Amino acid sequence: MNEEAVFQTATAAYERGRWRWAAVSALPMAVIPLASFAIGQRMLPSVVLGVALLAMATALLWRGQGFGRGLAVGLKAGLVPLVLSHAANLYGHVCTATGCTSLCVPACAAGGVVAGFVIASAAARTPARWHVIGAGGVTACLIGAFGCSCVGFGGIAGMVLGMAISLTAVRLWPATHGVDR
Amino acid sequence: MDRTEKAELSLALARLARGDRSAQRAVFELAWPLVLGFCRRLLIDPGDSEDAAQRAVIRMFEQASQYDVDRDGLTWALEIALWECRTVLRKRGRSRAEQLSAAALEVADGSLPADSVIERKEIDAALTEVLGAVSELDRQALLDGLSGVTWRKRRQRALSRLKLLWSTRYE
Repeated sequence: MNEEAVFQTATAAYERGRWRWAAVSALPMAVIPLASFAIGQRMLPSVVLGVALLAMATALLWRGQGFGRGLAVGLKAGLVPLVLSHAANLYGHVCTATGCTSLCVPACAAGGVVAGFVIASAAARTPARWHVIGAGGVTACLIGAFGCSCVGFGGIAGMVLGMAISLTAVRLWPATHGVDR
Repeated sequence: MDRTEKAELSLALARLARGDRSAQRAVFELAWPLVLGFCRRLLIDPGDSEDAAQRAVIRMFEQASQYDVDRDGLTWALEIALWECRTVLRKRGRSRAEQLSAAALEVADGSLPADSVIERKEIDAALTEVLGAVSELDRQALLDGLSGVTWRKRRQRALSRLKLLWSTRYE
């Protein structure tokens, strides 16, 4: 076997090893759908979102670099809407003189705003900022969706909207104020 | 390997651990001669050492994602190479043990005394090794048993080369 053939075999082994490592490293994230199911008792969203989260985490870890960093950032950021939405769900409804309303959608939107801010500020500190924003945003949305699916699509839409607003604001602010990022 | 190359290897391995595929070539070019040289020093047989070096480099790449960026890349690479060399030596030891147990079975049959069987096995193995080291033409001359002046002269030359090879290895 010549050197080039050894190199080709080694690079193939690298990809194989990286997939294995990524799958094993993503496994602890299974705690999110499990805990979410334990709190919310919603089987279908927990299973569907859980599978999607694990598959995406594996793919991002396998790709590595900015995408891997984005996963870590998105994990932290996504916990905000997840915790807020579950807390709002456990709290129940707020009743005023005009009627009762669920806190889930506002909690998701607020969580989305905070998550977007976390992702944008983390992305500003890395050279591969668009990779971090993309991977972090999708991860945070998926994690937040475990809690925000409590009121169906509305909760998820509120979170995504909140995240998009804060991400855009944090990204645009330096440009409009002449800060070089 | 000098200090700069050592640092380069550690850096390239760290990049590879983070998923930067452009570091693959650098890691290979730095690690391959090093691992091959290390295996050659540990294993006498050139075929064995090349096999062990190939397996070590492939394993290095396979485990590159788990590389701890705070560790010295050279030490990490040589640990893997050492493991592969040990595996080769262990396998060789096992095949020697299998030969000995086959000899023990023959002794149990009672056809030959124990030490003669072991000695015969060792001589057989040494002869096979030396015959494997001579050229194809010499082997043909020694084993084919053809007659004629040309073949006799060729056989004599092949025999003297075989004797020389035997004496450099076993005397």
